[in-house]
Amino acid sequence: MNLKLKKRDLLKGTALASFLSGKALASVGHQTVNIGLFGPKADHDALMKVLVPVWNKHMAVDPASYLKRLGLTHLSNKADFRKVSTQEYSQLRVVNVDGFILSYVDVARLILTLSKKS
Amino acid sequence: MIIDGVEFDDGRELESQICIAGGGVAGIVLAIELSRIGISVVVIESGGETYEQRSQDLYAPAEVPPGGFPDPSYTRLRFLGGASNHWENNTSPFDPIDFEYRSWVANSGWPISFHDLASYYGKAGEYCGVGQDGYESFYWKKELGHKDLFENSSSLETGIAKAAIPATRFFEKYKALMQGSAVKVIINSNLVDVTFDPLSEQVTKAKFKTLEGNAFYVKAETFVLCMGGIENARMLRFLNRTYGDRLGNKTDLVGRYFMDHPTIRGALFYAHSPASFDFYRSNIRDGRNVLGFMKISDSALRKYQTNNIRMPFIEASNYAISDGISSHHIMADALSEGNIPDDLAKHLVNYVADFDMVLEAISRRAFGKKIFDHADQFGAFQLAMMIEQTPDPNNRIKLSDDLDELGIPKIEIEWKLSESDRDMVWRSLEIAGAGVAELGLGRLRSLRERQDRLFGDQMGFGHHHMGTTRMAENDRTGVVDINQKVFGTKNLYIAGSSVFSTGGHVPPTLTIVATTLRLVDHLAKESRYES
Repeated sequence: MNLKLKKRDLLKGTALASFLSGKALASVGHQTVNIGLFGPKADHDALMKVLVPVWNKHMAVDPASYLKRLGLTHLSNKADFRKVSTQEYSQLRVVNVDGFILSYVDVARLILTLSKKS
Repeated sequence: MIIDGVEFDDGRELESQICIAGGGVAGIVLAIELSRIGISVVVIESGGETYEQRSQDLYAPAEVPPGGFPDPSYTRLRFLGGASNHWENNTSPFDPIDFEYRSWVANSGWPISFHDLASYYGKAGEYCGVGQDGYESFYWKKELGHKDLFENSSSLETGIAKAAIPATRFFEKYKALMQGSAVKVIINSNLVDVTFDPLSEQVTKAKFKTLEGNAFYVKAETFVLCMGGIENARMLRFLNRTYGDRLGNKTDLVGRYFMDHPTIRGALFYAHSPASFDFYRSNIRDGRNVLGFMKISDSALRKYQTNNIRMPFIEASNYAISDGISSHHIMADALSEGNIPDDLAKHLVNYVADFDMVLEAISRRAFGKKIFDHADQFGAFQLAMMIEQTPDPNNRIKLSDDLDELGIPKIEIEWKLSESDRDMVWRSLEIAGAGVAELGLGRLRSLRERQDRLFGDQMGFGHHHMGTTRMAENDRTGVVDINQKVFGTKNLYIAGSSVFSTGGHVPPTLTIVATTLRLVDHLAKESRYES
């Protein structure tokens, strides 16, 4: 028996990793659900439930203000995000989100992007 | 010349310039090299030319080691060639920093530097069957035609591992060389005693005994213990019972600082382009397997004050990296002990969200059938980390009251991985995760949530027994001096990984051979001086 079953893997790495690489922003939320319990919005919500507490635990400012302070005002400006995020990685300004080692810029961007989509 | 010790009349005396106890990697290299420069050598090995259970049983500890440490009677081999009879032949040199005193690594620092060993690594590579062409990533990226993904990183770099194909079995490979030389090899004979003169501080005679009951003696100018990382300490502790701790045990350090290389698959790496990692996959060149691994750079080790660590990329399937299966085990383990696991909600979510892999596991275990095609598809790279353990005097080999067949006390092992070493792993993964993200290679996910299992029943070991007769500047901090001579003696030496002051992050055999070659030079000078 060889079943083809698509997986819900928003938090399992591939979707998150590709999102953060800037290559597949649109793929977030398009990971097909495997057992019918969750939909794309539920995926967003699940991810936000992981991201927001981590952010609040480590940061005293909201994600938008943090990005603005760094001169990052447009979510679509991938080059600037990449540049500043790279600086944070090089300075080990990182946080653990569900095991993923992410820069604060990446986390803030993820939160803002998902909150716009929800 | 190979002679079975059972053929000797009881009480017979032999003479040689150098007597080597143990015919494993160190003993074989030492014997060949010394005989090449005209020194007469006798090598005395406990086992024979092949595996024999009765001899192997002499390794058995008094009891199964606690804390998950593997029973060393299964991980070592007591016959000519020693552990090389089953090793993977995985070789890399230690790093310069491994030899240094590091304020953040307790009890670190060798009394010799990398520079003192560097010139021996090439020949050591020849002995190990991996050639003399070194381990420099810039050389191998050109040779293999692959990209070094970390050459522009400030925190990460590529290490190189080489293994001979097939693996080099030292006795099998060097048997003819040994037989053609002046080396005398005596098998099935076990060191059971030495005669030590406290005034001259010289060992004058060693007693060997066979399992058939006959004993013989070897008189020599110099004696070298090459019995292995555990046995060297076992024997030295035993001999010190007779000689009041004068043989390198003035401050009760023989057997202490016992180290291994714990290994855990503590992270998943989701590469943006897995195909670009060819440098880090198996590359066959001239009968050798050459592959890169990720490591933390020298400057980052100093900056972030962490131990050395080796991080090879292992391709893993969706099934192998399943969160659902892992959570299932974590929940089952906790519930079976009447506990509620930490992060229960998270494990339940993992279980549901990854239910297809849980079903796959049930099907494979219960019915022996695979269900889902994607279970075996590439999921991510696992990082199979080999950890440099901080030397700890409380990790030790002790003597039991229980005796082996020859009347030698069996060993007891006290070993654990400290909390600070465990924390260091997660710190290293933070550095690695930031490093790969900085380079745009992908994202790393540490599996700290699974740490109880990772450092529990899933923890692996290199089976690299090190540090029990550590090299040091003086007898207050170690057992052997910079020339591997036992403190308090004039002519008793030790070779092998028991002399390592720290264990580094790579398998030890290449460095065992390199340190042994350095010992050869020392013994050659000593011999000329004395003659």
